Amino acid sequence: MTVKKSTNKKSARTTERRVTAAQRKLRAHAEAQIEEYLRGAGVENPSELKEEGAYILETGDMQGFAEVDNDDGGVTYLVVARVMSLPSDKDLVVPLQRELLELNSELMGPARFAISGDMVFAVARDVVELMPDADFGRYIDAAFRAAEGAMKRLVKRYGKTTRKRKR
Amino acid sequence: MVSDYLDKLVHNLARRPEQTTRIPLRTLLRRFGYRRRQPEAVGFIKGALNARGLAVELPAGRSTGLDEPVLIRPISGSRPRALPDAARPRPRWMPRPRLVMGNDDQASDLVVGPSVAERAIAATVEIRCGDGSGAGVIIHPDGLVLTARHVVHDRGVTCRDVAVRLADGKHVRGSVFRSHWPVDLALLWLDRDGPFAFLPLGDPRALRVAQALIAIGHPSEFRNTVTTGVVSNPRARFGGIEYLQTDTAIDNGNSGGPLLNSSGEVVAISVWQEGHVDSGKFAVPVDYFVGEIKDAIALGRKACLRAHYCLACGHLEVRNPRWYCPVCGSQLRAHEAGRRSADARRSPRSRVPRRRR
Repeated sequence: MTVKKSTNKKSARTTERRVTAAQRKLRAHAEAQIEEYLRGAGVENPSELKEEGAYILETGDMQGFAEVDNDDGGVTYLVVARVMSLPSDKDLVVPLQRELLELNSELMGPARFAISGDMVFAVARDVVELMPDADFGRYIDAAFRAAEGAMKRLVKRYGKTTRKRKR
Repeated sequence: MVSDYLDKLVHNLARRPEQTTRIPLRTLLRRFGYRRRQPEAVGFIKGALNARGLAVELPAGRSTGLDEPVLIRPISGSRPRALPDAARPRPRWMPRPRLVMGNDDQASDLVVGPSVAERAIAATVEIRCGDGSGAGVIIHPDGLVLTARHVVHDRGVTCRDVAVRLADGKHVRGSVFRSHWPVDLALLWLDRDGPFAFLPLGDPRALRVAQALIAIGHPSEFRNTVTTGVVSNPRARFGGIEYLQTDTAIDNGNSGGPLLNSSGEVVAISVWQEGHVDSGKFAVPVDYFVGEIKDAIALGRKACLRAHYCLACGHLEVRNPRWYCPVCGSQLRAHEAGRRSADARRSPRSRVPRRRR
């Protein structure tokens, strides 16, 4: 018995809406977990931190964001904490990149160091569907802790310049 | 160099019995770096000649042809004079025509005259990149602008294209071709033929404590605002960089704007301030970028913009057409105009609030 492929446009649209609805449900669940974590951390109204779909997080010297987004892999959860700007001196950039790779091999937890554009970040990323509820807060802790721990050392070593004032 | 030309002129005049000469206006303008007759060109040339005891009789009115000769003669009662050796600009510095304040009132190390500020305003621009804005200063008549890197930086990348508003209100595009972190300076060319009003560079090392400075910028959307102050510390060291510390009022919108000495020369670029400390304003001395400025002028606008520019680390690759930046390894794209790199679009968005100074 052959199965006819449905040419009914209405059923095709319904399927598309069903997939999107599942993603929307996942996204809402993820954002609820993020907001619950932020409330536990002392933020009274976490929805006020939202800007263009991402929660902007600032604590002390640390800045970053957490967002839930759709991409090819499904609904993903991304936490980014800024570490430092990439130095423009050749004799500092290459040793910094080497040190970041070495730090990545030593890090415990989901956070890793990354370079994007001219910034160095600590990043934690995963697929929402596979994540237990407790991990949403844990990823934020991991990224910011990694950034804070490395920031002082990396900025001290690579946040300067070898350039001199010209006479 | 303008000073060499003036020396030759004085020498030639001294040998003539009538001590006068006639030079085509076009030639005179070209010797001083101008291609057209502009009000600031006329003022500058008059000032430079006055300093040598010479007067120039420029024909009034716009209908004067550029090929018409103008008379140069000694100022009555004085003799043409050459600069003494001690006052000659030393060849170690850039060959910039000095902004001579021959007729300025109260121009001294302690006070900055109003005409210095007026000329500086004409050369200060407003730069917009992304959601923020700052200031910049034109340092070459062909449209070379010096500013702070964080002014042309948005969401994790340095902008290649920026919007520039000139002092007269006209809008032009600018193309960034050099930048450096953490020195926090950037260079861009204006996408329009000059000449533009510009300011010469001064020697930040000659600054002394309590010397007068002026800052120009656009704090909180107040355009072309002039503030004055003094040098608090000419060598305040933070993070391996020697900043110029001053109490000149610098606020959001002053970033990238010039700090001028009493002679109207750019000595530093405003970059940051320490909280609400009145004397905690910091500027990067321009001698950190002298090499890049000289290279940019030698290369010219077109060659700078054709070369491969790394948005990540600010390196300009002129000679070798590689597909990656030899400094930081980022992929280079030959035509970045109007686009950010694809990496920036795919990458985590930088949500760091822009430091608007």
